[in-house]
Amino acid sequence: MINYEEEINRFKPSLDVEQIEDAIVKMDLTDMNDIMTKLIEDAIELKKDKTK
Amino acid sequence: MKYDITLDRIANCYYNLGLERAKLRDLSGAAELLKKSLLFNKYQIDARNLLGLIFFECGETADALVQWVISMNLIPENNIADYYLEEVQRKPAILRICTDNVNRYNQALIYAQSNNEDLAIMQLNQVIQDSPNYVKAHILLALLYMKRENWVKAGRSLYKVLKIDRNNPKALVLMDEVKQNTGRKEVEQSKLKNAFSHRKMTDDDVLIPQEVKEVSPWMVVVYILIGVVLALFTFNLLILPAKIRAVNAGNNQEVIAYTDKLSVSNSRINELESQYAALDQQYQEAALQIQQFQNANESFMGQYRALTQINQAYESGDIVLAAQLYTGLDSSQITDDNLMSQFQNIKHIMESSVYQQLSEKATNEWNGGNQQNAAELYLLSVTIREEPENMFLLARLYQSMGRSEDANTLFDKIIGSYPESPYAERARGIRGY
Repeated sequence: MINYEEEINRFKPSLDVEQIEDAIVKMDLTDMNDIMTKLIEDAIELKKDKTK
Repeated sequence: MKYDITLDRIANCYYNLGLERAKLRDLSGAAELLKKSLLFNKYQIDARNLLGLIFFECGETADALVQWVISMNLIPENNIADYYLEEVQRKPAILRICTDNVNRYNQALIYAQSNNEDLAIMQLNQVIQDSPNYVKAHILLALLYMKRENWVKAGRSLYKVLKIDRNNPKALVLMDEVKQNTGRKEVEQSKLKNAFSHRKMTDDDVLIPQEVKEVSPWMVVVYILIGVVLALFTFNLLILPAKIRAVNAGNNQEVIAYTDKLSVSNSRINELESQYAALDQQYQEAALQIQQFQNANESFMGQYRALTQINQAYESGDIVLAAQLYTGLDSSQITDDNLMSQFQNIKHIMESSVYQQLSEKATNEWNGGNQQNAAELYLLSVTIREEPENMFLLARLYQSMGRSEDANTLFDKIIGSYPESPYAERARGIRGY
């Protein structure tokens, strides 16, 4: 049985054309490539610290 | 490690799957896959552009623009997003209609969430009329209809959603509910059952033709009439609405074209108005300059004429006229150097000798009994150069003429301005100080 009140309350407002700039600025563009690069860099740093 | 190549491959796979789904009009599924593709490689521009197209198709213009702008920022060269953005920007009316619809949808959502269902339904119907592909608006409208148990209208909205986005999960769930409440589900299930329950015919089976019945001529006429009525009914139900929709779509296109023309004309008018304002200002400045030049020229001519007349009068011995003209001249208005040097010469003559000659002439006039002329000549002399003696004589003359007030003013001036002069002492005696 569907609860209509809940379903209606789940709806979010649509993005307005005037808010595009904000939306672009706030958008997270991190992809797996960035994450992998960061992980490898961290690993290299860790290795350097250990050898010191 | 070649992880970047692997990631690119995964992103490409997701894009290909998304593209397949999009081709089958499963837009929700395609969007999910394309988002995954971008999660593996944000530079998968085809995926991003297709995601924008899907948003645009579902009526989410702003979300589409966001994807295309990001796409252009990531790869500005040879990017079809440039064409999409140009197409949207080239027709400002489309953008305006989309903005209005988003505002109306958001307003309707507020109404729906605050239990103002009538207003919400009204707003959503308007939104759908302008943007028939606005999926979110259709689903919200269907939900509102379902809440009111208006299953037919809800089903109609959901049917439109499923035509746009074949596997929209929310629409599918709601449609299932609608079908259960309208009894369509049982009908469909029984149809399916029948479809798969027929057994295959074998070679031994025989199809027995049905008996052909004789039909009377009257029944033929009745059948024809029923056929005509059914044809009209079908025309009204199927063809007419489609035609009306086509005409409305044509009208909307025309309105968009006119709005475009209007915006171009408005910008042209604004341009011309600003040009007109600039030219008008230039004209006003030029007119002012001309007026200033004319005034300066007239002033110069007047001053030159006055100085010449003073010279002529003085040379012809008419010192009274020369003095009158001299006192009437406003030296502060002379700006030209030549005229100023000429004026300085005349001033020197006036202040060195003419004032004294005028005083003597005045004294003679007074002695001759002509007090009015004498007063005028004394006044000219005093105006040219303030000499305590001449001021005193003029004051005394005023006294004898009965102009006590003028006389007292002059006496006071002698006392105030020339206190060391012998005439000051005499003036004080007369005034009784």
